[in-house]
Amino acid sequence: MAEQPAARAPGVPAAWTKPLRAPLEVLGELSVFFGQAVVTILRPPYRIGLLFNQLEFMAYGSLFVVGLTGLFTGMVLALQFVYAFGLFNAQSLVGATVELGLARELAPIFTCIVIVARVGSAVATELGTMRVTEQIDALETMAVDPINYLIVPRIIAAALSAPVLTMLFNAIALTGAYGIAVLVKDLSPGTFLNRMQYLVEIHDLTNGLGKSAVIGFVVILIAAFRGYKAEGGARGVGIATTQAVVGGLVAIFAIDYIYTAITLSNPQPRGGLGG
Amino acid sequence: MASFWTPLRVGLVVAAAAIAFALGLYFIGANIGGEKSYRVFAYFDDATGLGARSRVQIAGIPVGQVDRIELDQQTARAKVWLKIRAQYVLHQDAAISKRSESILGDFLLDLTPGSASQPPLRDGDEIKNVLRQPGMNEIFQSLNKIAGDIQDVTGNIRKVLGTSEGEDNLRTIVANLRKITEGLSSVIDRSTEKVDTILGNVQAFTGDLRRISGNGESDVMDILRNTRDATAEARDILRTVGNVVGSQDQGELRQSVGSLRSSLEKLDKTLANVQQISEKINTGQGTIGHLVNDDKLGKNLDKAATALTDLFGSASQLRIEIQERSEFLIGNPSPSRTTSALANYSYNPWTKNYFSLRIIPKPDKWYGFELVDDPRGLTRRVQINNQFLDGTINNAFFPANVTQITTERQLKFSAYLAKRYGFISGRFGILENTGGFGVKFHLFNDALTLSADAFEFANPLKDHPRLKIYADYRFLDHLLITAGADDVVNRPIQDDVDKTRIISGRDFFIGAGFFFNDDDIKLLLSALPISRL
Repeated sequence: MAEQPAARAPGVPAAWTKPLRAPLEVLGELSVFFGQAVVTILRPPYRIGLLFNQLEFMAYGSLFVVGLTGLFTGMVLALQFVYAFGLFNAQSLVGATVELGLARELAPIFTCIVIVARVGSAVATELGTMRVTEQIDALETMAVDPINYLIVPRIIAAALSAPVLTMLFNAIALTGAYGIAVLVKDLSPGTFLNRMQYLVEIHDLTNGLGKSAVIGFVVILIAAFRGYKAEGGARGVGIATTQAVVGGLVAIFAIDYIYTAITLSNPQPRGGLGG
Repeated sequence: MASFWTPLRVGLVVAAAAIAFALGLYFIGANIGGEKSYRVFAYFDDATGLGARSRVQIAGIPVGQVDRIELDQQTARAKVWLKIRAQYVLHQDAAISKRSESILGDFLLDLTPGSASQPPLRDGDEIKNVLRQPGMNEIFQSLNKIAGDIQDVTGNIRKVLGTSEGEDNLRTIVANLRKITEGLSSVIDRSTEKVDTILGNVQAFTGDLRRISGNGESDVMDILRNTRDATAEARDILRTVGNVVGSQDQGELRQSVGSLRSSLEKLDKTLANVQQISEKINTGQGTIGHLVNDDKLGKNLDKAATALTDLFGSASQLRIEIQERSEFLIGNPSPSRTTSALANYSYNPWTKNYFSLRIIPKPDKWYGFELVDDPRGLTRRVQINNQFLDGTINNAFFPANVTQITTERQLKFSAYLAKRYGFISGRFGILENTGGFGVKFHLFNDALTLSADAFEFANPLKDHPRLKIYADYRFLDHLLITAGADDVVNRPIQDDVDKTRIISGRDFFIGAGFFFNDDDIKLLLSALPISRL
């Protein structure tokens, strides 16, 4: 209903080129939106109250889900690794492997998946509804910059919440893994913790946190973009939400790969297995 | 809108995350505060299995970790840098070896810290003793070789015993073994009979003995009787000896014994006296007792020893420096600037010479003595009171009161004390025959000295004290050059007769000299008592 490219003036590309143009158009619009958002971050007014509201919604509101996800992730990792390393009597590597996997990969990624599912969908729906009910237009009419008022607090809150939640995820998952390995599988605490101190480094933790901040920022930016550009009533809002979650998930893994490839581009060999 | 709870909840999450992060750091043993450590390196032919953070241990205790690994391209070896915690000291003869921790290819480094007599390794030093231990591959290869050898041996055995001939040989061997054991058995059987016979003989012998003792009873009685007589005689002899020793009338032997007894009595008394003396000493009576029991003596001895140590210590620290310096006076009117007739070359007004001796008991204190040859000479003010024998009160040639001011070229003398604080030193005492003081700045490791001296405070020809400012530069351990200005603040006065001589007023100079420490004089002076400042 809203898409009527054929009715446009001459000089506009033909309708059949739309499937080819659409991804590039989305990428271009997203880039412009990203630029606008970044520029607006630096401009007053700074809406601290709105930022805290979003932080409460994203960080505090996600605590339970993140904690539960983390606990089960750690527990299942411990089970798998105790079994796998037990095949060749190397249970001493369980703790270090769990923590390396969590800190470098699982904690940031799982946390961001939770954020996309819980927060990204909400942001897209909320902004999409505001768009189709013309509340955003009303804001513009009142000379309030909607990007400053709606988008900036959300993306900043996401960039701050994601690492905070990742830290919690990491600690809770490690606790779960420790519980399973030591209490259930009868590994000695020393065996579990000893190798961790030799194989895990502080930049493993900080890399994970940096990764989660970047991914959190991007996925909420995508969700906000989808909601902000929603059109076509309730169905449009639904489509925007779906696109926000799918785009967010794809973005998580794509950024994860790029970020990891950059940070691992020149690693120093570690001690321990194989060099 | 932000509710009351919003900041609280956000803060709660952040605090929880911070605690979680800190816990994570604790679990991975992260070194946030920068625990003190130092780095040493070792060259390995093969660093396979080693990497950053590999364990380094002494006697199984972790003392550090591998910091980084580089390839030394010149020697094609691995340069492994280790970070060792500062409390673990390694010595020059420390040894290191790479050890396989498990068959998974997990490697660590074993350190031996070295002997304490060797100097410790510092940051950036090399561990030179790298011991090579066989890796798992080599162990497996060795085992392989051993297994091959065993296989060869068993193969040979099979060759020997596996055939029918071998089986026959084995059967023969077993048969022979059976024969041998049967032979042994029969030998043992026969020996048993012999042993029985021997035991029977012993029994018969003891029976004979019993019979002899039964029949010879009377002989035995005789023997016992003789023994009794012998003991009775022995008792008599002993009684006689007792009389000789105990009574007063038994000849020379008695006298000898008597003198021995008196000697013993004297010894007894002597011992009693010794006991009394030792008791007195012990209770602090008498001079010796006082000496022994009063700790004042010990303290005094201690003080005396300390004083002696100070004296000889200071004597051994004592340094004597001898210096000779000459200053060429630039500002003096040269002969060319005056008439040659008035120039007095023999007077030599152009150099001022110093010969000085510095006695330096401590680096920050010294005594100086100088002989100075100064062309300006010594200025004296002499008050002459003329009295005439004929009662004349005043005379045209001889006024009653005359004040003479003389400038006389003569050797002048300086003696001063100097004390140094950091790079500044001060001195005071007699400077060039008058009271004076000076200050010096010692710069660039004492190579450059900036000095200012003030003296001649009461020179009648001068309105102000004589102020000398100069810089000395010492080099090559024994040489110095100098430059400066003398008598900076006074108006110039020249000698009326010898026009080339300045008596007072500003002048500039350059000069040179040499100095040395004289160990011979030092030894001589160290034998003399030196009062301390």
